[in-house]
Amino acid sequence: MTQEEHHHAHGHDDGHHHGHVGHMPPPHHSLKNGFWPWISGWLFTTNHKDIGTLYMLFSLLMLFVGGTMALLIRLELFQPGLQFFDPNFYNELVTVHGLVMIFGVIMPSFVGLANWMVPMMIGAPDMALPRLNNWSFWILPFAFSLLIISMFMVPGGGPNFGWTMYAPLSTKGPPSTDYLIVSIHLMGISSVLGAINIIATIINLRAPGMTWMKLPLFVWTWFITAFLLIGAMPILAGVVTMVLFDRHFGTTFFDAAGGGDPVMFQHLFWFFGHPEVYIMILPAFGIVSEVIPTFARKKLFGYEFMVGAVAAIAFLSYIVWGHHMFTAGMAVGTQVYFMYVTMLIAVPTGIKVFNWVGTMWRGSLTFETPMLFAIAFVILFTIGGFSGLMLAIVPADYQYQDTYFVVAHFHYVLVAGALLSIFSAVYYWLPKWTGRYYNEAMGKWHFWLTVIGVNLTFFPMHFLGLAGMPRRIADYAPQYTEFNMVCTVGAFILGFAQLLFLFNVLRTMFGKGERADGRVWEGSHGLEWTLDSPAPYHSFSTPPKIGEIAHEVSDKYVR
Amino acid sequence: MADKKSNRKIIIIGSVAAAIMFAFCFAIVPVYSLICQATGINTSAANSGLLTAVSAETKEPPDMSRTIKVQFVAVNNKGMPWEFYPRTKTIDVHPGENNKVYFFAKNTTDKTMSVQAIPSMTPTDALTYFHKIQCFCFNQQTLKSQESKEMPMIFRIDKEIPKDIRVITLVYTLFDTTPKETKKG
Repeated sequence: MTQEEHHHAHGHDDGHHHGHVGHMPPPHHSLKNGFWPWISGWLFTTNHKDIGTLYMLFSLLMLFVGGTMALLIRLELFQPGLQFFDPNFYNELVTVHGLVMIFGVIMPSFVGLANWMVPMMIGAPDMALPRLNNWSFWILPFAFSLLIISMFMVPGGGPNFGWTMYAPLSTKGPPSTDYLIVSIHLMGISSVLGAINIIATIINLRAPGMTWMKLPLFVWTWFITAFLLIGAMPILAGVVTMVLFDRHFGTTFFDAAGGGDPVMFQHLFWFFGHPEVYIMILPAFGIVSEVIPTFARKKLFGYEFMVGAVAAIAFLSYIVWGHHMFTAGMAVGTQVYFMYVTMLIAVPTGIKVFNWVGTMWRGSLTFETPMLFAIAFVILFTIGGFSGLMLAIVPADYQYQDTYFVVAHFHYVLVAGALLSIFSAVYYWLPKWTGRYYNEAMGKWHFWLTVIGVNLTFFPMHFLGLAGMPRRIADYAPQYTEFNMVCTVGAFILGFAQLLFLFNVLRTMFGKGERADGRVWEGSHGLEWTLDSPAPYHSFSTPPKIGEIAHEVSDKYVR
Repeated sequence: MADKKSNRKIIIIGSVAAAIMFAFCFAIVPVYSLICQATGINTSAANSGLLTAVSAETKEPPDMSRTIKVQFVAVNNKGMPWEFYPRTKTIDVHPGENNKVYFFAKNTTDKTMSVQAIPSMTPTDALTYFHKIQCFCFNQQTLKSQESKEMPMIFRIDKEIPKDIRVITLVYTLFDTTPKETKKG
């Protein structure tokens, strides 16, 4: 019935039996048809491709918002001493930068990619719950308006306690904290609804013949991520609700004076927080598992193990939260337990890295921009994984905790990991979305500037951390000056390189660039590549043939 | 249609799962304390019985062969104006004997205030072997303006305490629990 709803929503009168009804672009895709059709078309759209585009553009905007904050932070840290802001505003920048990048950039862009690609990859006409899909997206602009308002417009200053919102800093924090809490509730609702939609789509709308073990890895990783979202986001909603109660209704969940325990906040937060970090990396694993076989012109090595490793990582993510709080006061036995299970995650992750390298081994590699980003992902994410292993070791963590070593670690996995994988995905599928190739030379410039920028920014932070520079402080001791200057220079290279990306994506979107055929890449296999480029507005209204699925899959995986 | 029906099933299961996780977050609050007490992996004083009294009577004589040094520290929580310190900074005790020490508190403000002292202990392994017979931290303490008080604390260290524990540090943090209305007035 979804198909019918969706036609009604657009006022189309296509009937429901056409195979390719979508070749005419809908009226809201051009402003030439008037402003109201344009705005109402985008506001009320239930088309998975439209909503995917909205998600991607929203996260692109947020990337520049969060990136500007990052550059302001690095500007302040260029030299010791206080140059530009008072320490409280610095703390607000650090807090909102983290929240925007996590909830406004990485998560929405993965959801946007899922919206675009999952139905096309499994041969479905649309998402299973299109109207819910529209709602999931349109909650987000309100959530982030609240967050930005909390920073600039509420007397008493913005939230200034870091994205982790530790009690009692948050329970005794400025009035804007309430805005932040409501904003987090909205983001949580959006993510959970999105996750339910993705699960329903993958379970119910797979084309006949698209069996579980024929699913592309991007679909598999998102399927598992959706379960993590449903499990983890409500915990965050619950814990910020408790903070709200402590602030206004006289409860003492986290107040020792009334019998509460501030450490319990950390337990609850990280019980959400650790699955959250895998929510931000599992879809990246999926993307890289799609890109590498295409440009290595080989089948993906060890498909079953890739699926199993993702499931294993997802399971382990729920039982390792304590490694974020070794020094918060924890019995020795508990610390040892968390240390061992944390190190255990290296096993499935190692399987994945091995299989990506195995896929490239003796392949006919070409280095188009998506492949460059995917290879950089494998190398740099592995570095981030290794520093994670160092942090997992309890006695070492006592030295590293709350230093720039931790900052280096999570930026290697989130920027050099998640963000680079998103760039890879955008370059990889942009010709499918727009029907045009992006400018390859500009893409390569973007890649090299980004990779140099990332390493220049975050690699010296390892050494700053080992030398003892603490996180989240606006000032530092003069012996750290040189490395901080390198970091700041790197950050500005990284930041301004993204303007190239913005320009390249926009010009491709608006019809510049060489036309792409359906296949787009020489080595591409999978159902999405059997569609035209740009993908028709309504795709797979009639499901793909079983033989076609079997053919695409046998070219894609070693089965 | 079959499709629509199973979509509804997934919505219901998904929403219920999310609601359960939300409720689970609140359920953790009591469960956390229970797990900590049951397994002894706790590090928080409140969970390990430092806020509950035991009987003063002991059947067996103290273990005179061992001496344990107990250090006392008093801290004011942020914004607490009271004077608060231990009369005895350090005391050497034998496991199994009852000991009495005093803490001094003075309300230096011009208002009546209520406070609650919250204990914590290093090393945390000693928590379950440290028994209190009487403590000012069992109840809230209320002092009038400029009033002061010698607050007693009687404790006993269990004879079963592991051999490697030779020094115990007990810290009290003083929290303001004056009801909001009286604070304003």
